[in-house]
Amino acid sequence: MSDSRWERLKELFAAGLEVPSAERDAWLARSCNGDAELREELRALLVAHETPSDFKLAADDAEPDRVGSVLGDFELLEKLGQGGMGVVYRARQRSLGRDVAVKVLSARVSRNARAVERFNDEARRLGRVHHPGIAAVHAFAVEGGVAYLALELVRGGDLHQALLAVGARRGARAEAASASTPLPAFGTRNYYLAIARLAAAAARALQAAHEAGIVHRDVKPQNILLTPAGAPKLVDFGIAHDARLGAPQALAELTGTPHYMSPEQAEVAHISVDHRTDIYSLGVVLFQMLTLDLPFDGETSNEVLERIRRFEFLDPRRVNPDAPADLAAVCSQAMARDPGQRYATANAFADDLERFVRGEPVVAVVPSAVQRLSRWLRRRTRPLGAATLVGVLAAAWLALDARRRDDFDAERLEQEQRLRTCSIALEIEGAAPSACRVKARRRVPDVERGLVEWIAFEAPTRVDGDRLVISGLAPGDWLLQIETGAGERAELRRFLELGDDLLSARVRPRSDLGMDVGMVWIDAGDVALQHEFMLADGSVDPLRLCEHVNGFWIDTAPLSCGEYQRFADANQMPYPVHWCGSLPESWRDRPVTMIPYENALACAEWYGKRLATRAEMQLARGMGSGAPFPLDPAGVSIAAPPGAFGAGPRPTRDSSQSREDGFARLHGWFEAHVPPSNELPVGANGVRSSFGVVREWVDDVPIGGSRTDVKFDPTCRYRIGMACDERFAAVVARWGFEPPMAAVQTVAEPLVGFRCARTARF
Amino acid sequence: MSAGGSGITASLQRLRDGDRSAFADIAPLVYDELHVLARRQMNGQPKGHTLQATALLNEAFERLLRQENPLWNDRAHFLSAAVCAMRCVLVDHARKRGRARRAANGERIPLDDLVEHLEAGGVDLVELEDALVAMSAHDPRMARIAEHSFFGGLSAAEIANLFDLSTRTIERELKFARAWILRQQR
Repeated sequence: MSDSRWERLKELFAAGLEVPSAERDAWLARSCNGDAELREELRALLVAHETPSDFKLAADDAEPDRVGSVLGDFELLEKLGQGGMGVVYRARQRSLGRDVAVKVLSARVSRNARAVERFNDEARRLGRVHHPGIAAVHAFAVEGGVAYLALELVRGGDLHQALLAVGARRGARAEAASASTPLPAFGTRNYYLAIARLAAAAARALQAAHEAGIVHRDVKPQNILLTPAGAPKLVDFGIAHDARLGAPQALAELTGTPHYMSPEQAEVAHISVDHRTDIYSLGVVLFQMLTLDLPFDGETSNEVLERIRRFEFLDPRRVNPDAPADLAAVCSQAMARDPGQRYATANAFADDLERFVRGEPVVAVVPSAVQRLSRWLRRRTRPLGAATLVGVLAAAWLALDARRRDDFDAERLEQEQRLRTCSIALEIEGAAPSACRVKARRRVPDVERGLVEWIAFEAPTRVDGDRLVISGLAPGDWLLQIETGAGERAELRRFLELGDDLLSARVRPRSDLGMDVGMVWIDAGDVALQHEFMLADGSVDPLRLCEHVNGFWIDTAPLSCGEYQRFADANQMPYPVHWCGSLPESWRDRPVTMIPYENALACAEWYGKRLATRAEMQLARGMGSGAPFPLDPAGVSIAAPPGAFGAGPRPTRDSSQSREDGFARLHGWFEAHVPPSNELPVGANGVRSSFGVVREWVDDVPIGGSRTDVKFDPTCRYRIGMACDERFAAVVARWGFEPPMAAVQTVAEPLVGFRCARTARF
Repeated sequence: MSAGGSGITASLQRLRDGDRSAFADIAPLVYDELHVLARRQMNGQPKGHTLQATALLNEAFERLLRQENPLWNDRAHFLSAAVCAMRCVLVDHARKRGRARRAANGERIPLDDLVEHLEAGGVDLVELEDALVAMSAHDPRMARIAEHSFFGGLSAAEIANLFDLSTRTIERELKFARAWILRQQR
């Protein structure tokens, strides 16, 4: 086929996609001009395009049209729309003879067992919520590998369409009469009352969901359907922005629009997203109704997100000066940057909106009102009497405000307990869940006091079939200890995020007996560790926090290749790449390397232990809160293991070896420079140091953000030490001690191993 | 915090300038990038299968380091090389497996599950490879776009970014590529 013919085929194919199949033959005959070969090739391609096949290229996510097919009790009648997660149909529920909406999840989602499980869970919880403002869930099922959700059918459009109509009508006043929208004309008193009622009803619906433990996470006009009477119905709960569905790798993969995301959602490494994120997003919807404009816009998603992260305070009246001041204040309060400054609950938001509808003063206070008051005070320099009066008024106003805050706090506390916790379902190998005891501790940074604390928590546990469910865990960095009746033990270190409801985990308790071989006991102590906070100008603000460490057991040496092999064989895990498929006998006692963090964690847990933390490593190496990063207590450098560094040429320095197999090169490096663990120098406490030979993963979720807004970054961990491939001698000369560590993402890297620790019995 | 794209580009520059030691610096970065790609391949897979992503990763890593003349210009160029490496690894496996099946020894070789996952769409990887080779005779760019989509697991937007084309163009190319590949199968 010539190039021009190929190009012509491509062009015609693109055009042919638009042609309905009934008209195809005529179209083909017309377009191909009697070129029969071209016509048949084109026809075959168009047929191939339509053939349902699971063979997919990324862009081609077209879901098969299921109109006419039957899923369980539901007969699909008409396609209503398509979203990121699947296609929505109008369907007839045969048993009850009623029309419903059926959302068929896309094949990508249906194949993911965990995603389906989460949908199921969401549907089950939503199924228990009965609220006129929430589209009712009728059923959730998986049929022939297709997962679907049956929902109440809402006839009428969504708020997005309604706002488009309002905007169009505003642009072309002449046609005002012909355009039919559920909303009055923009800018009228009735319009503002209508949107306040609508927002209040949506807020009440959110409250009902929040009380059932569901955070919507994707409140936007497209997800607010309107009944023919104009009442809102929320759809798409907790689904669209679920990061667990296929783990978005980049912003580009975030589904939908970023405009309604709250500042805490916009932070990639957010500490927690709770019900107040919905209050924010509904605030954005209100902003849009007030101004017909988005508060934050930009060319790219990144730009929008950047603006959301940076904004301080927004007044809709700057966009639409005609907006009622009270309603604008309510909107600003809902959209406060700090979740603590927003309405504590969706109900409080609804109450305030309803106050506006009734013509009563609203609770929301625009921050600039304080500024306005003080500016006004400054202008009044003359009579003392007036100033005193103002002072009295201001005091009364402050007192009133304080009382309101108290109300908020009580309510907030109750909300937080209900909404802001996670659970873990443990499968315990070889032990009855009822015979197990659990001790939970959470690592909590307190920047103000300069501390990192481990706070014990009496976690409520219950037995659910063969699983032990631990609940009431706040989002954060947790260590769970499990002890069976027979005295076997296991440990679990997990970073929990909101929405990790019923995260499942398997533990394999190990008998105490023999577990401490190769481990030493280290007494409790305090360690000062450096953390990296960001300043407003983007520079790093190094801050040392003191961490108290309870007594613990730690491996005297990094985990050996032989020990890792045992774990890998028992669990069908791959060997590290430079083993070349099998473990050389002489490597058996050398530290294992090229291990990703996740595998290191799995291995430690398989041995009934956990990974050592940064603070524990420091303490074990004899470094308390005194020196920042010394090599050993005396501050003298350790003896270099033979050939570890400096001795031989760095293999890659030699250009004659450039064509060598890089993989064998790694093998060679390891062979030449990594000695058996018993040749590593012994430091304080009898702990062997791998410094200058390999680095080790330590299990600390990095603490960062800013001093006032502390965040965790659960995607990263630290590696401690130095590997022999780094210019060790030069580094020591430069720093005189171990350089500060940067947290990295948890992937395998050459020459990174780990060692295990375990907590004292309880 | 993590090894970012700029790090790779800088190291690749040094490599092109003849500094062979840059190779040691990029090895971990290469590994990171591959890891992301390999994980994507396994998106939506049961958990046990992610182990196979590591196997794929290790093999592709090995293959990349073995390249005769690794003169990648920048991160995008490198990513293409990485996708190509994964394609080779997977197709090789599919071929070997075909032979193994004919030998009927029933023994499973590593990456079987991954190959099966990719072939679940009804397209044999070896046949797909043949189709892609045939396609690149007509339209090398389309073949590379299809390769990035299928073997790299990249989205249309990402491929658009990589090739400096619009997402719409990529989507159009992919539609045609898919139909053409399916047509070659029968």
